[in-house]
Amino acid sequence: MTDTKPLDPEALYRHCDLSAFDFETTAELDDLPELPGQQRATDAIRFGVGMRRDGYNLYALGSPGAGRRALIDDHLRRKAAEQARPPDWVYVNNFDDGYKPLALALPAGRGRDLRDDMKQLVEDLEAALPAAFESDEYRARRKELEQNLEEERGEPFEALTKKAREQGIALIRTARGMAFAPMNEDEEVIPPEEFNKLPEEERERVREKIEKLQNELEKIIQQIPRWQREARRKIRRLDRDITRVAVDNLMEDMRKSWRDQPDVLRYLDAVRDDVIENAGDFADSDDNDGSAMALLGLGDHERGSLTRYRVNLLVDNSATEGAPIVFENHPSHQNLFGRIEHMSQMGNLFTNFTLIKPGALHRANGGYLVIEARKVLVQPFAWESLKRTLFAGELRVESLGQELSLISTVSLEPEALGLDVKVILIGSRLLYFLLNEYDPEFGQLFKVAADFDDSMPRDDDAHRLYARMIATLGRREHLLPLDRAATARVIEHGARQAEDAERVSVHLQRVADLLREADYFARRDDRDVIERADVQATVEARRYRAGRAPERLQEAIRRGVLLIDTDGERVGQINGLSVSNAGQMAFGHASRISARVRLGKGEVKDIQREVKLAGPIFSKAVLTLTGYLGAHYAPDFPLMLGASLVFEQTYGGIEGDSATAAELFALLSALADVPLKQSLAVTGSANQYGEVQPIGAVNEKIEGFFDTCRERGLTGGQGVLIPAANVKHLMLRDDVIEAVRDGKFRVWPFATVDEGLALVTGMPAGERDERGRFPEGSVNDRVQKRLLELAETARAWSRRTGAGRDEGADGESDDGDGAS
Amino acid sequence: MSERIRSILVAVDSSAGGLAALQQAAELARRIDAELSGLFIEDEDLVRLAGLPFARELPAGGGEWRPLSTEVMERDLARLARDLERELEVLAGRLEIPWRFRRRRGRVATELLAACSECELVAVGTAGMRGGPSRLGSTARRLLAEATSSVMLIAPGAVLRAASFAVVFDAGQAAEGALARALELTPPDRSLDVLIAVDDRAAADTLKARARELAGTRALRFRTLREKSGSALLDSLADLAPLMLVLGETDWIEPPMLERIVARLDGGLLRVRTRD
Repeated sequence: MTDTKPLDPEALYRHCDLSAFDFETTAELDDLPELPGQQRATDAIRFGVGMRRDGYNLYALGSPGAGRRALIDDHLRRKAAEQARPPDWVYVNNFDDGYKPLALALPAGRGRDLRDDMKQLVEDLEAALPAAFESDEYRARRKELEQNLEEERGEPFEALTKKAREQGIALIRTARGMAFAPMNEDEEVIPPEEFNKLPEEERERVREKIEKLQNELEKIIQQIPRWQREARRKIRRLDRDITRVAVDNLMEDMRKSWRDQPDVLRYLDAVRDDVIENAGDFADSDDNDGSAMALLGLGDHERGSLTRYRVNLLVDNSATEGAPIVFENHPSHQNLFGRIEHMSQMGNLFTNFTLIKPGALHRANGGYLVIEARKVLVQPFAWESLKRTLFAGELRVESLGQELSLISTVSLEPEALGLDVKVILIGSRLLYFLLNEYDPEFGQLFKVAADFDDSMPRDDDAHRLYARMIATLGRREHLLPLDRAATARVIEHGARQAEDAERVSVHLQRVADLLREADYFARRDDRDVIERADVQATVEARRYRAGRAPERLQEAIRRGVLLIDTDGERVGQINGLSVSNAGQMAFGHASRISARVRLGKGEVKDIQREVKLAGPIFSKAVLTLTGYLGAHYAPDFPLMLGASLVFEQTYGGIEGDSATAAELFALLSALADVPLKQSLAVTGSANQYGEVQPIGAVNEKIEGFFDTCRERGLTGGQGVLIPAANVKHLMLRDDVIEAVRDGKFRVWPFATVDEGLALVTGMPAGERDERGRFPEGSVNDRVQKRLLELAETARAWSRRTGAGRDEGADGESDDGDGAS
Repeated sequence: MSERIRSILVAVDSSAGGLAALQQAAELARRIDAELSGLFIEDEDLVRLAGLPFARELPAGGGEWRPLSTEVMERDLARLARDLERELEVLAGRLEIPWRFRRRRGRVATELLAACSECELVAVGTAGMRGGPSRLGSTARRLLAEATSSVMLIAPGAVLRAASFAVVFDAGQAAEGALARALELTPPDRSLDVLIAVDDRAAADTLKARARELAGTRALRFRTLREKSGSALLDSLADLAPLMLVLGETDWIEPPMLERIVARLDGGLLRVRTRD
């Protein structure tokens, strides 16, 4: 037998000490400034946020709902409030190259001013320039100029006309041009019949005169394009003079108000020059603004659009307090880096600098950008572009189409903006480790890891802190306060979620959810304070809501569909325990493990492993078991065993090593031909030395077998064997504890395989004496003897079939003698 | 007092100035409810020119010389006449004014002067058909000098609808006739500028009083020339809006000065002849 004692009820649940609470309800407690249990993460965030050097971006790693975002938000807000507002950013037209808009940084709030100033300027110009060109002064100067030009142009014609007339020749304007003809005394063209009557010499003389005049006329006509060019140039100069006066007048105040911004002054100079060159665009601009054509921008001089004088206010920090904090929930490429929109006109796509739209990085420039790592990684090209941008320290708006050369049409190449942003990625630990391993640039850019813990140690101080966190969350969510017992229950539930009686979960979202649901029950029952019963009701309601799968499973056991014994004894058969996930709830249940042994080559075959239904950890456990078997029982003779192990009635994959002990017990039972108690279930991992190691989800596993036993009727002999190292993890349900207190159910801790073996067989396992022999009749003795028998049989078989051949020991032999 | 204008005769041709004159004359006819009579004169000189053995023309925009022939010229003139008639028809139809179109062959100035007896007002463009782009064509010059009816010289690019009228008012019957015509042509809701031309400043008030008397309820704005001279008149035009200047028969403006004045006017010049 064994000396191992079942656990007392007190060991199955660690209660909060209510006397440590110096409050009646959480309403009396102050807010907690920082999350409890996250000191390491808090320090990392503080360091990362304060470190203004390249590459010191943050990665906040932890499980979802751990409060990463809330903690980051809280820190960023405090830090950002101390920082100066970053500048506004605007895009303006580049008058030298319309395809490359210019980016201007302006003091916060002044981007809007520049936009409004330019809008006003254009409106003023629209009124002032036409008025200037309709003014008497302009008209008089233009008329004078035109008259002068006309006179200059007319002089050669008049001179030629005069010269012709002196020779008796008229210069006549025809419908299409000009011609020469001889005149009579009345200055009329000589009729052809009269001309033809003239002597030949006279006619020839006239023809020669006309030919010479025609040559002269030709030369004059050839001058016309030059005159026209000259005329246009002079009129243009006049227009420029008139425009210059009007523009300078209108821009004078504007230039004064922007004298502290050299970039803006340079831009205004370019605007002035462009207006002077294109004053005609203001002549009839009523229907330009707002029309689709007006928005086309590129090459819009021809269309007289005034869009080029607009200011695209890309980032407006006029209402920003301190540094900006941007949470981008959909970090697609264009949401991060901005985009260049296009307009369709007559089936063609057009764009201009006013259609450049900002991304989250633009808005966060000078501050902080928070994004979820997974989301940015799954967005095409977003991650690579983000890294490139952070390395470059400048932000370019570039469409994916351009970047991938999918679109070769002419588009914009906006000037890059200087980038000063702290990027904070929120993600899982796995992703963090994978990025570190596989992305060499990740470590250079995200040098600060804020590692969020999932739980914190339990003690009275921690309980008090936790109570304050509950109070803070409750106030933030406008929930009812909790009394002390309810607070304790929340903490105890936190310990259960941490799977550790000595720790408590700091998973903020889960705590908040629990409080919200408890608040619902308290309000439903017209209570002003959340009581322990409300928290308990919440926990039970959750269990009930998630209870379909475990209930169906228990029902299948009860109805004998799933073969699980809870009394009697069987050789080579034991109740293992496994845990399944049903959404957010995990539940445990018993699984029958059986073992058969025969003569073999020293192999323990696990059926799950053979058919690839087992994971690598499970396979490792089976091999470990083989190692234990050989070393413990057959250190000096061949292990000629062929054993098979199977998880009965399982149809899916199995992973984990928590069934190692149970499998070992089944195998030893089969070898020793010693029956095992079916009233017990076993969970526990074991190493090659027979030491039992802790496993996960111990509470769920115990409760799963308890539920099966309760369905069948608790006999007092039923119970679960758990690794001794798992005792500190126990936070069991009340009904389990009650049954234990009533002696109807038991939980045994075991630290070694031998301890467990004694419990499941009801026989001493047996320890080797000083001669290395197990006590006669002990389980271990029987196992060793059986293994010796198998070895002997194998040797005899080998002799019979010939030296050097060992077919007889082949595991594939049909010989069934070795089977137990 | 002259009778109201019942018919405006406009000389039509294919030049830009001629088409502009047609347009403006039509607008004016509509305003004063007059008939528009288009006269296309097939220039005899052109027909003769085309018949000459070495006749050829140089296109206005430059290029190669093109030979001319009588057949081509006749065909061109006939087509041009059709086009101009059609132009007049469309214009008159749009403005809903009575119209007629005539085609004569002869010398332009002669035919126009002959036509003066058939109407109260002859309208022509200021630019001439013969010779280069001089300020005033020979036809306009002859009309100013010899026409028996009132003559309107319409400047290229003139928009009479937007132009205001100003009348030169000096002592005499011709000035009163000119004032009457100016009042007739000025829309009733607009004031008429009256340029008082008198050497004696004291007489200016008398003239103003007379002008007011003649204008009745119509609004007048007075401006007194510094002296009764062509140059003073020219100077006074500098700060006036786009203008059609109405001028009676005067002996104090020499023809060259009159040409300079015409050149300065955006709208043009209306030289009023008062018939006994």
